[in-house]
Amino acid sequence: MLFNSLVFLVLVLITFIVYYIPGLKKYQVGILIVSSFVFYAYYKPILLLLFITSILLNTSSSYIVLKEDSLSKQKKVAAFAIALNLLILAFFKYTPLISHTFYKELELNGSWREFFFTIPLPIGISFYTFEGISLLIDVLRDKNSLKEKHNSFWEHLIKTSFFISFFPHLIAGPILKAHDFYPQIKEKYFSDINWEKVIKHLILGYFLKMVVADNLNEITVNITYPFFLGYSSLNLLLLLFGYSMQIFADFAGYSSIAIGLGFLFGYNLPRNFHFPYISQSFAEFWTRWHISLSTWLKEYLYFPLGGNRKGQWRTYFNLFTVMLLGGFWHGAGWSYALWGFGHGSFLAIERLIKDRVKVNNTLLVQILQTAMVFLVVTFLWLLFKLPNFDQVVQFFKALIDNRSMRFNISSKELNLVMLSSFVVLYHACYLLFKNNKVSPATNYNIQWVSYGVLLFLILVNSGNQNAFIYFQF
Amino acid sequence: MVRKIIITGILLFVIFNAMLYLLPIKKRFVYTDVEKSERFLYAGRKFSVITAGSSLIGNFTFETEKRKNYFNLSLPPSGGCTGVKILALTNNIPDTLYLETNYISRGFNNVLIDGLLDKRSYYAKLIFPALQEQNKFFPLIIDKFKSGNTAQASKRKPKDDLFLQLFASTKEEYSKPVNLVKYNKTLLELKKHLEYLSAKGTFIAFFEVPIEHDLVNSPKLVSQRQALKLAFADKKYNWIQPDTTNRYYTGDGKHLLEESFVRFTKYFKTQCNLLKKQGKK
Repeated sequence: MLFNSLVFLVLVLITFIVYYIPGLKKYQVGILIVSSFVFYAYYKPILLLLFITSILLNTSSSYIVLKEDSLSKQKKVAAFAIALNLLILAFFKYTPLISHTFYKELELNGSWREFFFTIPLPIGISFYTFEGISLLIDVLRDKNSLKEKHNSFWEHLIKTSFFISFFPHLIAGPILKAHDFYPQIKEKYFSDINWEKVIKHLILGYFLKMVVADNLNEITVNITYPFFLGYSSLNLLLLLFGYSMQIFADFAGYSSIAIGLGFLFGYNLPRNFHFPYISQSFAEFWTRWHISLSTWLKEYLYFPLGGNRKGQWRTYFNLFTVMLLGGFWHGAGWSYALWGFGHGSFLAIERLIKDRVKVNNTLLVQILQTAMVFLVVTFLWLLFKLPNFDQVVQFFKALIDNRSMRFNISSKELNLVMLSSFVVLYHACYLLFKNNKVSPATNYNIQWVSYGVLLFLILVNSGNQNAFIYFQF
Repeated sequence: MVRKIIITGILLFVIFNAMLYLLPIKKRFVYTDVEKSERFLYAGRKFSVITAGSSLIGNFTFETEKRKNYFNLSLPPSGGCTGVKILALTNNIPDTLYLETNYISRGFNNVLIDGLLDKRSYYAKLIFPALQEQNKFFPLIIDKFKSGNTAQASKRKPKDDLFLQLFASTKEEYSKPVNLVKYNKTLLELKKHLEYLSAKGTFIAFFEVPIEHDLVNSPKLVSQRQALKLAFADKKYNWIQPDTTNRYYTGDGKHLLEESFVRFTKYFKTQCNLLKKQGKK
């Protein structure tokens, strides 16, 4: 179900009403679980089978770890369950890629080949698998925090089902961590809703998604083969810039809606984006972009690999490995791996330079660094837009060959600039107001006018309904 | 704060709607299927001459347009059948309907039609024109400030490598005959709608837009033509004969370049006049 569909609004409305009925307080978690299952299975009920299997696997294994006294047994159970989680993810996500690449070597023929080539990707599997793994590791690391509160298997099942399935974050994050979310599970009251936070997050989220991303999508669709061959170099750069804005607006928009919905039901979901395009380094970029994934990778992969505690070269290697795997997490395609490889390499090289060269942090240096990070990040997004690597090469070829073509400024280009300017403005405002103290009254006035205008633009300038880009991951 | 945000948003929405009612703000060119069909549906008047078809006639203008009684209902991806169904279901009966046949095989875009004719959405868009796709805020503003006719056909052939790629894909598309079972089903439904329009007095003429010379007798077009002629053999259906004397050039195998398009438009109008002289209209 899409956040920007009428059926979703109806589901939220019904859930909201039932959720806050005073007599049903005891069943609040159950109500949200049912809604989440409806949300997830609305178009393909069969998907629930795998989803429930994953929930049961993680609930039962984490419960065993909770109740088991022997540490070695706890570790064995957790390791087994994590391996099983990864195996399920690998089967559904990576089998088609592997079989496409190695079908000759694997001697796949006939119906087997067809079967492996067409395994469907269950929506949200990357997200809920990571949350299941997070639960297992958290329980293993600090089981006392959960032990007292989860007396029976039933109680643990209910809370775990809720943790994994809570619909705002289910399909495209933010990826929750068990130790952040479980303590929040308790009775919620209508009077505690912070309406200002709810409305602001929802308006910003829907604006970024429906006004910016969905409209930009109708323009950046021209970055498809062979159409991009007909554009001048400058037009291609502009389209790529638009795609960079689109992917931010799409994903940050989704996350903002998710956080707003979380507040509506009394839950605080973690922030997922923090003005990423002002980053002055790749390391900073990953503290601002898809924060819940990068912190997940840091906590559950980078630190266990040794982080930066095992020497410089090991640190570079760890950064590179984590990003490469992060790339693979995004999509089952070699271009996603290349995207991860690119980010991993830049992170490692940046670290290498920082360890050896000291640069004066002047304003000019800051601007140059920000521009460079933005440019590299934007060019790497091309691997998301054109998952066929040959086409990426063709794009770069066109970028060089079409220099002599005339820069065409049609309504389409103007619309792209207009829509992208909102993302630029969003980042610029942050920079502007970050250090300059604005009086509370001015701040208050700016805010209500701005959000009012955004609401107006949602009503009069929404694009065609499109699925969120991150749904495919 | 929440109340102020909502009031501001709604107030701006009301002002924009009032402007659309009171001022003659209208986009000069509409491109998408939704925009075009909305423009037709919410025009609030009858058009006597209509062309229905695909993007191949997207840039088509008729002399009669100056008299404001012509509408080009070319729906780029949906094609002519969808346009005909919109006419029939909305009871917009033109005096003359010219139907482009190149992409009749695309059938009916029922998602578009259902969305367009959904009662709640129809009345909401009628009362609040700001909700119409053709009145989208930014494109409307840009259209007001951007000069020049952007709805013209491409003036020149694209770069060779792009043309070859596009032409190869068009060639592939035209290399297979149409799926006759599906196509005949489409024709059956089309016939139902055309019979209705014809019964109400509409003069109906089919025409084919010329495409790249090599593709004129491609399996797709040949099979499509044969089935179409068979389904609409009745004398009440008129045919504008294809131009065999001129050679036409396209940007991708199917979309005419500007010069060819102008030549085709002239030819088309001559043929329409010929039909009139023959006493058919």
